[in-house]
Amino acid sequence: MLMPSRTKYRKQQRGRLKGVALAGNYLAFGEFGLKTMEADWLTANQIESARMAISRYLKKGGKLWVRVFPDKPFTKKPAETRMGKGKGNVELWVAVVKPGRILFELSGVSEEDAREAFRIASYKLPVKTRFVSIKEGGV
Amino acid sequence: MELEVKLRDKTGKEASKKLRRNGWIPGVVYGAGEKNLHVMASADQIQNIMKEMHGATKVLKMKLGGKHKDVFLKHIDRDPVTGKVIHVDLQVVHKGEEIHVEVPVEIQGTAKGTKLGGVLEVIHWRIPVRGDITKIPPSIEIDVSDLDINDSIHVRDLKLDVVKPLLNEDEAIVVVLPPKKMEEEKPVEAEIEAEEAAGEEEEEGEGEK
Repeated sequence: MLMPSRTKYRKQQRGRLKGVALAGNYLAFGEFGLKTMEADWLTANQIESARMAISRYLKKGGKLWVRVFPDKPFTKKPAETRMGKGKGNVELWVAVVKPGRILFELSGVSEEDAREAFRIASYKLPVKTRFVSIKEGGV
Repeated sequence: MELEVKLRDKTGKEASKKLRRNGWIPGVVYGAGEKNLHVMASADQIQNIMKEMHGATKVLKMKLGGKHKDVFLKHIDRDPVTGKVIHVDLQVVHKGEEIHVEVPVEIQGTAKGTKLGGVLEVIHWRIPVRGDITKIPPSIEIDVSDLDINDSIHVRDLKLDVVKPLLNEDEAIVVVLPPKKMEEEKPVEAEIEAEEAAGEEEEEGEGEK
C-alpha cells in the first residue's frame, strides 16, 4: 500500500477542503486522464484498488501514472475509549484531492479502452470523476 | 479564420467574472512594437475557432474596431474543473518576424513494436520551436510505423528545415517501451546467470582445497 517511508511529524491536523486544484490539474505525462470533480480524502486502499482495476482491465497494455500520493496520516481512537488521553493512533494514509486534480494518466491505449478502464476505476473512488484527453486541451 | 474582439475598459477578477457570465472571454493582445490591449471575445467564437484549429498553431485575423491584425493564440487559460476557456493571450505578429511557439505533435501510423506488445509513449505532445511566422507548421507529423521495441525518435531526427526546435537534440519525443513481461523476465535471467556464476566459483574453490 502507498505510504510515506519517513515523515517529519507523526500526526497532522485535519485541515479544510476549500477551493480547486492549483497543482496537478493538467495532463503531464499521458494522453488520457481521470480528473476528480469533488474534494475529498482518498485512502491508500482506494487509490490502490482503482490502480488495480485499471491494470487488470488493460492487462499488460498501456502505461499508467498515479498522480496522487497518500501523504496525510489519518488517526483514529480505539473503540469504547473515553475522550481525552491524547490523539489517536495513525490508522491509514490519505491523499487530499480538490476538484480538478488529475488522479491517473494513461498512454499507449485506445480512447475506448482508456474510457472503460477509468469508468471501472471510478467505482473504487469516493469522488465524482471526469475523463480528460490531451486532444481536448488536457485539462 | 477571423476573430472579432472588442476593447474592455474594466479589468480585474470581478469584471472578468461578470464578462464570463455574459458569454464573453477576457483576453489580452500584445506583440513586438505593439501597445498592450485588454480585449474580450465572444465565448462561442473562441470555441468554434478552437474546434476548427484542433490544437494546431495557426495565424488568425483579429478584427478590432475595423482594423485587421495577424495574431497567434499564444496561451489559453482553462478552468481546472470544467476545462472551459477563461482567458486568452493573443500575440500580434508581423511578416518576417521570428517567434517562439509550441507546435503540437501528430502521431501517424502504428508502431511495429506495439504489435509485439510494446507501448508507444509520447514524451513531448508539444514541441517549442522558433521560426518565421509564415513558415511555422500547424503541427509536426511523426511517422512511427518503423519503430520497433526500444526504438525512439529524437529531436535530431525531426526534419524541420524552416523552424528551429528549442529542445535538446538528444531529447526523445516518442519511445516504444518494451512489454511488461519482457521487463520482468530480464532480472530473472540476470539472477540465474549470477547464481550459476557463483556456483561455478564455489566448485572451483572446493577443487583447489
